[in-house]
Amino acid sequence: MLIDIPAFSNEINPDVMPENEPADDSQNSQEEPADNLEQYGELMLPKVTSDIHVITVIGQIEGHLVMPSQNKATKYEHVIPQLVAVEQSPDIKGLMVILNTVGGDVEAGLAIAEIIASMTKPTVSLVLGGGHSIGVPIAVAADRSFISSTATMTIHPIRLTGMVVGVQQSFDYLEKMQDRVVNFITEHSNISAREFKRLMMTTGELARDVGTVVVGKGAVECGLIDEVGGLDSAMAYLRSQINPQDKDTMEPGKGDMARDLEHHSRKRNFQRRR
Amino acid sequence: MIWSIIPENVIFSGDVNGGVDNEKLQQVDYLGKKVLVRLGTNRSAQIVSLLSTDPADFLSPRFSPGTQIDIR
Repeated sequence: MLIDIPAFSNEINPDVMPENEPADDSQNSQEEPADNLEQYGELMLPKVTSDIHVITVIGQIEGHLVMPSQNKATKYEHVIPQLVAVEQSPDIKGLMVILNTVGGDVEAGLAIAEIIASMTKPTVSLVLGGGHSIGVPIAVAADRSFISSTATMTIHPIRLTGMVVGVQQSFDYLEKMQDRVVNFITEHSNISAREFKRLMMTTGELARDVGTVVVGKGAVECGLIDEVGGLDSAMAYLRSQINPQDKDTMEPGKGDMARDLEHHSRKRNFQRRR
Repeated sequence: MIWSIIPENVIFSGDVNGGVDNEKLQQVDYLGKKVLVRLGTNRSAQIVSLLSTDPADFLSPRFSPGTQIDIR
């Protein structure tokens, strides 16, 4: 044996320490760290416990309809129990939502956004790549939202496709659906409904649609997203919310803490009023 | 209702019921975590993705996508 790690034992309860359970215990029941080195080319990783949990929203947001297999999808039946577990677990102190989504089911997206907005633990969202359409309410649902400087968000109108009964009620329903989304976004960000609808109805920006693509800083300037930043600033914000006394250790230029705290309490007050 | 930048005819251009690939995907509990696996023959399965919020789980090679596992 090359390396002796006394902490490793073959009699570990798999429910307690899943990382140490061999992948195929019928063949590898005698597995030791050196075997791990041989099989995976690396040493057994130290047991890491993280108090910040991450939810990635990737591809389409899948709701009532099962997406065909060529779509990469985030399923709400996976995400919602995870969010409930994060809220309930005493070991988890904060949640980070990382978005790179093209949109998807309106009701599933709003459900995820509402559950993030109503969590009591500090939440932060980070838009990387793209956070389009129904990804927008999920991005603004967190206590503080960040966008990377190259990420984009497409704001365009909701529309009905397929066979539509051409009556007034269909259009009223469509408008109601759009208002649900617009209201959520304006209530959880600094953009006004008027400005959001203006972006939504802009022509000349998209080749096959009306609407606007906002990039990084543009999303912050219109009030949709709180700050341009990356993993460092998002993590620093979460840490500052988990341990408020650590706020002095934050790097300068990574966000104005006084404004952060005020923003946070404003959102919380709003949630209490609802 | 779908609100996406991908046109609906592209989203639903494949088999609406999921196709052959999706039929073989199954969510199972493995080592106390939920994983999405592609079922193989004779109780074997290949991990497609790990469904966890704990970033530490993703460090474990046990759960890396492509790993063959034995499900009973």
